[in-house]
Amino acid sequence: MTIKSQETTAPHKLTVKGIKKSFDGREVLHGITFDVQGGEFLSILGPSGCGKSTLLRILIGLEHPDAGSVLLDGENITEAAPSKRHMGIVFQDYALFENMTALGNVEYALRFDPTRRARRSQIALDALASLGMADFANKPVAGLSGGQMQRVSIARTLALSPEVILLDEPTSGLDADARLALRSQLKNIQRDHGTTMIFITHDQEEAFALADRVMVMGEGSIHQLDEPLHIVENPADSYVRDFVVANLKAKYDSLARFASPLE
Amino acid sequence: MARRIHNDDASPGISRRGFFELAGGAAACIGLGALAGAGGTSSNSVVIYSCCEGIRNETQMTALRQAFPNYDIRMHYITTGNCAARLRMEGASSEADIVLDLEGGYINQVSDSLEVLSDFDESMYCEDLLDPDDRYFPFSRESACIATNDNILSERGIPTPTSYQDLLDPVYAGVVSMPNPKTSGTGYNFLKSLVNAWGEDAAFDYFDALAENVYQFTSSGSGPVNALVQGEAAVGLGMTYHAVSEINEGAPLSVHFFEEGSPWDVYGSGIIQGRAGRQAVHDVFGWLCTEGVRIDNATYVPDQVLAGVSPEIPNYPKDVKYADMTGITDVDEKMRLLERWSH
Amino acid sequence: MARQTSSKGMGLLKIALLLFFLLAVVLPLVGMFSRLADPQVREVFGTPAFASACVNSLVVAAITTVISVLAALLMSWVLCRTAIQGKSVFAVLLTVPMLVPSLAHGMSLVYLLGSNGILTNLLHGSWSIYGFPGIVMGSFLYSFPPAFLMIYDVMRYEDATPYQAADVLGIPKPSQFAHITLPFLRKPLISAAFATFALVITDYGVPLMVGGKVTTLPVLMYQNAVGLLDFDTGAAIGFVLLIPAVIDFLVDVLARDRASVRYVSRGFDLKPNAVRDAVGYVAAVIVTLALLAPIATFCMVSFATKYPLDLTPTLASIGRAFTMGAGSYWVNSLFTAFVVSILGTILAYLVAYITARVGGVSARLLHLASVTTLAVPGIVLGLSFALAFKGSLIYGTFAILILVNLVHFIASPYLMAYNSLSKVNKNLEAVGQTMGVGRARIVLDVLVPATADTIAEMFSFFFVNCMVTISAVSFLSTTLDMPLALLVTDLDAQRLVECSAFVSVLILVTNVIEKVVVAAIRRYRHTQQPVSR
Repeated sequence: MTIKSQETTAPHKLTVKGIKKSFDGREVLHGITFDVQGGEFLSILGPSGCGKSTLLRILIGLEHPDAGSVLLDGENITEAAPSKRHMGIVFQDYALFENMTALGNVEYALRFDPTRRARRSQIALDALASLGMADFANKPVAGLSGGQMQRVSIARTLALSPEVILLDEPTSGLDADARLALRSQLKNIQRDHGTTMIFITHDQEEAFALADRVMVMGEGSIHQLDEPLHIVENPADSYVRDFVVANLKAKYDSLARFASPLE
Repeated sequence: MARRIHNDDASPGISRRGFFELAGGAAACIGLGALAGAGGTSSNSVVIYSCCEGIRNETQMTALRQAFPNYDIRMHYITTGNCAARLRMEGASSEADIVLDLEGGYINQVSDSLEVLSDFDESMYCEDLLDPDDRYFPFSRESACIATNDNILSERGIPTPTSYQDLLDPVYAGVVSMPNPKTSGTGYNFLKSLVNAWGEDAAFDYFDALAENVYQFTSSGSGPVNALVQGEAAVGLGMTYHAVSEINEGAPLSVHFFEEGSPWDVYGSGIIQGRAGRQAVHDVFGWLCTEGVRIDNATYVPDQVLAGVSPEIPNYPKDVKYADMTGITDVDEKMRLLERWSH
Repeated sequence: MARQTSSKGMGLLKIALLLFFLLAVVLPLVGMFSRLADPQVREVFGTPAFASACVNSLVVAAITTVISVLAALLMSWVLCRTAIQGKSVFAVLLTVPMLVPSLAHGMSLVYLLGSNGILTNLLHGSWSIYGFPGIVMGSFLYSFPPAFLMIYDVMRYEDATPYQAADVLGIPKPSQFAHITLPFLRKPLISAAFATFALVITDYGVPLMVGGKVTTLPVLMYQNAVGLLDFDTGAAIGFVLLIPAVIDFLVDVLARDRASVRYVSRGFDLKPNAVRDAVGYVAAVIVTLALLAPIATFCMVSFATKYPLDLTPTLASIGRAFTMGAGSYWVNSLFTAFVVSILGTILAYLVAYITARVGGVSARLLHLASVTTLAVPGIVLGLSFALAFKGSLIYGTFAILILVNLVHFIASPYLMAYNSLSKVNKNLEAVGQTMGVGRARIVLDVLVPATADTIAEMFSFFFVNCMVTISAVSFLSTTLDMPLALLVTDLDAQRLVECSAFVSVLILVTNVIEKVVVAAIRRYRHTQQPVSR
């Protein structure tokens, strides 16, 4: 597996070395090594079952790797508790506290932090506002739409000021409009807070539209990690060619006839 | 961010403090409960398990409270079977200090748990009721009869039975009630009386035939009379004093005896092992086996228990011929016969 | 399920719970059944009485199961698929028989349908309910409500979309029922069938009252243990009564994993349909009357002067019942019921939390332990406790009553909690972990409020069952802690029939009040926090 990475001068935020993981005797991650830049938008692209969710859980500390290490700003966090990693995770099904309001969800964790407890409502409101959900602060989350719930879920993570946010298939349950809205909000967060974002998706188009770099995974290995354009120009192997480039081409072709009026 | 124990807060759900308060309260309750059960006895308290039914117990208790105002006496009704089962299982660690009016066969099965009553005078009792081992004193002699609901009989055109053989007639199908000898002393008394009168095989053959007409073998001795009062049964093999007390309350019952005689048994009282040393128990038992017997005998169950004393009660049959009850308190005999009982 | 690193606290909790089940369930039962090692004890298995009791028990349980489950299915259909009015009223009334001891059902059947029963006389009937008919009828009365609840609680959340598709395709309604509804209800139907079977086969209250000459296994056990004072034979028979427990557990394990969870995407739009609704009304009224008539009867008897000879209404029996101690026994029952309800709910919830959301080998053991207690007959449990804990600190106190009730009734609330907790989002603890919020706080702040309705059901279940239970506690109660339900038999044995009926009424009223209070609290909670689903 060749990994073509861009040489940059920005310091590595997250360094992942040789992560291996097996479940019931079957190895699902075969020694994953990559790094992420500070403030970068990295997309991990791959079909279901390729191990990307597992990788995400290892990064956040919900799973322990069998081998390998994870470093944040040079510090080894492989054994650190999930809450001590300065990372947040947004689950695919939002995992909101359905008995609380949006504000309640976002400010919940802050209650346990004595330095920020007193200001938690304000912090929470700000987080909601950055996702455009300030007006929904006092609504019970159970009555919100999928897209709104997703944004509350992101706000909940944001309120704790993480340095890295991990997102597991954030747009999979959303309709097309919500999807587009979410994309722009994620970009805003990246811009305004400098947060590093790693999001998992199986949607080639989304990965390529949003990310600064795309990591193409397949069957527990990285096939290519590069800027989107470089991947399209130089797919590393037939897997990348078939899974990624061919798919994008097909989408492009299907929209090609609208090219001129759209332009 | 660090984990901190947070202070009480307005939040959905239960706060940590509230949770522990609840748990603490529950624990305290159980602790109290545990104490409440165990700490119920003091040197002045006497717990009596009585197989007498409500009204007999109430009469005894009223008189007992007058006689011993300083003692904390608790009398508790318990069915015969349960009483014997508890004593058998708990033995000398039972909560009861005194057992009252437990049927002879059963009291023999638990006699190991009872004190030898050498401290008390047994000369006043009828000789045929005494326990050779002195583990219990007679409290009453309770006899049984064939009771009938005369209204039901006439409504359905059923003749009044005059003999055991009569009861085998199909006209009595589904209207006869009898206690189950396995769970009721009364039922066993009937069985044993016929075993003595006719021999074992004839008696069992009879009951096999009678079972055709019996609609239910009740688990308690009072079942048949209950059924008679409710009109469910027309003929009941039950206790005479039950039937008489119902007659005195206006039930259309009448009491009959067949030529084999009225089955009966001694119902005894005893002191649980290790309790006779307590003064309160000693005094109360002394009272029960003298005054208590006299009162009960004169008011409810006039079958002779005290030598030379034959009280009369309204509607209670006088000069009843008793059946031959030899061996009624023999436990091995009882187990053997009951093993053969198949209904 | 989130595979998380278990903390030390969780490990301790698991051990504590396992120890609890070991000491409170396994040891007493094993202790009692070790007596079976003696070949003389096993002789009872060869006796004709045992064989016929087995057959009788199986027949009665099988027939009642069929009737109860069919009736439960019918009533669920009426409440979910017809447009009759007053559904909520019916739903409540159908569960009322659960609020009364089974003995009372047997007694009331005699009052109603006995040889001199009210209906018998009214209709000039010449039947006899003693024997199979009476046992089946009485068993139906107390087994129908749980079966109904199991099926109704699933059917009411069924998705209407397949049916709409079927309508469009022109598939007739009976076919839809057979091919859509029944498969959907497969799991609750099986659960209801086995629960009913186990419930009926282990009851001795009804056969004691209307069993006639039909002896069932629990009655045989009672005859041996209490009548003949032969605890060993009683234990042997009790062992056989555990077989339904084992089968029930196996069925539960096998049926569980194939359950399809379909979320309601569309509820049913029920348009009035004259024929269907008429059938619905008739069915609802008949079943409700059948369930409530016996209860109404013993309510009436409790106010009679001398049933059936003098029906003049009087309050004398009520007074008499209280002088016979009904008041203090009532307090005993309330105390026991409250403590059991609180402790039991917490315990069952904790165990369900571990099995539904934590997992591991100990979780499987805990699930096994909790579910198997479902069909351990009360009489077996009571006897085994009496033998195992004799002479110990808790013997003869409230503590042992609380313990035996807790163990006796924990299975259903555990399953309720398990089902509820399984449905809540699996990632909540993970969210907590990433935010530095511990498991305990997630449970208290998020899971408990989310499953609050279930918790209320669990509390109610414990409470109601504690109030009506007789079998387990009859061996263990003392003069000081005797529960009210035991007074029903005692008063009846003392020929105080009206007082006995009143005690049943008292138990019924207490349970009704508890249900009303819990329902009011639930409604209040829902108005405070509108959660739209």
